[in-house]
Amino acid sequence: MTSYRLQGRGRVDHGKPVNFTFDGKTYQGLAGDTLASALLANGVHLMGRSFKYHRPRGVVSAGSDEPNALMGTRRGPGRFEPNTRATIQEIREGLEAASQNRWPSLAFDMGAINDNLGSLFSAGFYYKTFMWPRAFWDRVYEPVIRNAAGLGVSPTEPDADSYASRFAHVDVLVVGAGPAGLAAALAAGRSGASVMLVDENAEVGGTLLSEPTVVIDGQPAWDWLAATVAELDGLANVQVMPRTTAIGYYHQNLVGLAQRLTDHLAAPPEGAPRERMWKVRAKEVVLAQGALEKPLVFDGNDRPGVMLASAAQTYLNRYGVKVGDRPAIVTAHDSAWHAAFDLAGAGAKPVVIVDMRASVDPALTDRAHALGIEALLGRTVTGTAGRLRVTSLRVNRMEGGKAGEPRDIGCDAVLMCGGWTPCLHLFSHTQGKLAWDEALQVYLPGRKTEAVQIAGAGRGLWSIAASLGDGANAGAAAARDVGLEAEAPAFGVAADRKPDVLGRHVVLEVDEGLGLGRVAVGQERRFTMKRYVKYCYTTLYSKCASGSRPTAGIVTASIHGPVSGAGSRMRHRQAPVRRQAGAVQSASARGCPARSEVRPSVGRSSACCRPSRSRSRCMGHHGRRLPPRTSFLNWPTEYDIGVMTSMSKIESLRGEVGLCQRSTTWRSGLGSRPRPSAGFSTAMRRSADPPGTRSSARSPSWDMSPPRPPAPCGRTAPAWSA
Amino acid sequence: MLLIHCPYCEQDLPELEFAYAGEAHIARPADPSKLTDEEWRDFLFIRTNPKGVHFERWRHVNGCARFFNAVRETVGDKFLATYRADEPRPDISSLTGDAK
Repeated sequence: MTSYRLQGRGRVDHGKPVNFTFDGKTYQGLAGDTLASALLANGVHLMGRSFKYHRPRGVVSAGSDEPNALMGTRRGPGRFEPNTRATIQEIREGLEAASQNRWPSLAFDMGAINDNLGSLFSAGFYYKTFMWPRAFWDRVYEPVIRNAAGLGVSPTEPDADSYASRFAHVDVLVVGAGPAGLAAALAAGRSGASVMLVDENAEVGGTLLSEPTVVIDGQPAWDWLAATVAELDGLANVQVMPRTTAIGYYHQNLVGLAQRLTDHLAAPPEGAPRERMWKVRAKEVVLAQGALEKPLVFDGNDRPGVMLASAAQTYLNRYGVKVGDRPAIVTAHDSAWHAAFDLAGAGAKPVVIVDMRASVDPALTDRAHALGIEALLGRTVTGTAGRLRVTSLRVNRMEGGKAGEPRDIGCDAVLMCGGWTPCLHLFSHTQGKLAWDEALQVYLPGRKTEAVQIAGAGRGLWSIAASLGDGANAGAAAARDVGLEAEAPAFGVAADRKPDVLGRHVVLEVDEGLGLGRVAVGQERRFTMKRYVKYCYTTLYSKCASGSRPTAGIVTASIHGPVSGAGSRMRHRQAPVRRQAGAVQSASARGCPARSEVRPSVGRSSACCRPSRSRSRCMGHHGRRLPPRTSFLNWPTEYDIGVMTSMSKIESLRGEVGLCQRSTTWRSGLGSRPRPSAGFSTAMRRSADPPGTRSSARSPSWDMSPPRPPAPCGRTAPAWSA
Repeated sequence: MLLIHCPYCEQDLPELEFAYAGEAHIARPADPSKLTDEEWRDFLFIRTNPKGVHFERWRHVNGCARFFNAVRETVGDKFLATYRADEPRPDISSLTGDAK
């Protein structure tokens, strides 16, 4: 095995090698690996190319929130799937994977020329440039652009697989099987309630899989996990379902689940369905979806080798894979320090820990010194270098809020951590409101509309001890709500490394195809509302990671000025799910999704509305008024503050951190290669003005009146009826 | 999918079995021939369509096929109550107070 695989570590089966191919080359992984961990074990970081500029991309996360490592996977005729996340796909003997969006090869890609010409391709370039001569559109421009666009290639053969669906009615549905979800399932299961515990990963356990050193009730984490799973399996009223993603939360606690059945099997049973769509009606739902780590913002944070610190920790502890020999850690949070210590303990030599905070717990710096890791506090990172793999990191001292003298530090991986943000996407499906928590600097669940409990890191409780306790309480409360006697079990936790409260951090992230320049250009073109900027003008949120990276809050915050949760929601879908899951088997499935299956029908309204709560202002067939959709078509609120605020906020944040760069189509508005943008530079100039002069300096281009409301379309009673 | 309580069948049944049938409690004028054109128009066409609590008629078309009335909150699309067509309009405050 390679030098990146650590003998005897992780939950993979070191006695069971598994062969698979990536871009035609055969690699060996171990049973229990994902495609991403097996490739990392072979030293492969370059796994894809970005959407528009074809920048080299490596794996960023270790879970379903992966934006970069998207591959085509194949299992014979009719069984090709584009955009499979390498972090989710388990390897199996004979798995064929291929990188996407590159020609002729992943390492040498002609399309990358876009990256160098990027300054010509501003946001909206396509819509304005290829308009003349008119006849050229059909014959020349469109085919060429269409050929260059997109990531994976749509399959052309009919889908050879079958898909199943099933209904279920349970007392308590627990989504997420980390510490909080397991505790909730235990509490509810012991009370006799019928419980369904679902988790999107191949194995239940969540954080515990990456934190083997925690001691729960006197047992090491993995022993406790095994005992807990055994107890749950032994309860006839509890059903544990791994590889099952909760895809939608509909009215009256109806939850859609997509269960992957055969994708991980080398030889699936004849006629077995590939996936099963569950429509579960639960009396109570416990959302224990945990939290996602936020990436940091600096130029070149999309280079292969740059990844989340928690992902590196997961690859190390769960898969026994070292992501690099000389990793550098960039953080604003304690958790990444432990990732560095774990890597040092596994034989890697972390070169530096850069913490943006001016002071941290002395125990951390002492431990770093003892391990021979240089710790730099109060520094920021402004860039990385390297072509197909990161080779160095540029660290700047902070001087009066500005980045000072740079220093380049060689490394072969950069692990970043900008803190954590609760994963509340499903909660947002229910029209649940998010509330900004000033102390934790995250959005927490606010007003609820369904019989739902949120437990653990989803409520900003980061430590394993707090998550276990909170999960147990939520599970017991859910069981009591369905009329059963329930008690919350108590857990004794030791060696819990996750802090209870976050240090304050300042992070601006602009993600998924949105460089700051693009925001500015979009706003210049009068797309002033955050929703227009997000959805119409830039390609923000346009890809598989759509809404899954913890950008919702941050981007929103940065675009709309005062950070407030009121009216904010997370994007509907957390993880991309095949549309055909549970389809009535149809040849049209892949690439041409049937509509009915992912949306447990909202009756007649489903034909014209989005899934879930039918958020559009749609009248249905009989003039039945459906709930309004809070995004996109609403009028500006006090939170939709335009360019001025956002740009001055971005500027102020920029003084404290480097600028973002991690996305598929990323171009930074700042950093080493500034992107020319009139809007941005104007904003910069303006925000440099003394505060009092700003309003008087407003030029007409900023001073935009809100868009005119559309004609009422018969939605409201006309005025003359009053 | 919503579950709707049919007051005749006394069961919570899927929305698919039901059909919406417009606003409830609109009394037919006792003597239509005495109405002005405006009053007749108002009776025929003008509806409240509120954002919030709405009284409306539903028909259990794929079940008992009978009409009943419902109180639905249009923002969250929640049924607060359903009752037989001949019953009086329930008090809104008691319903919204109960509704979480």
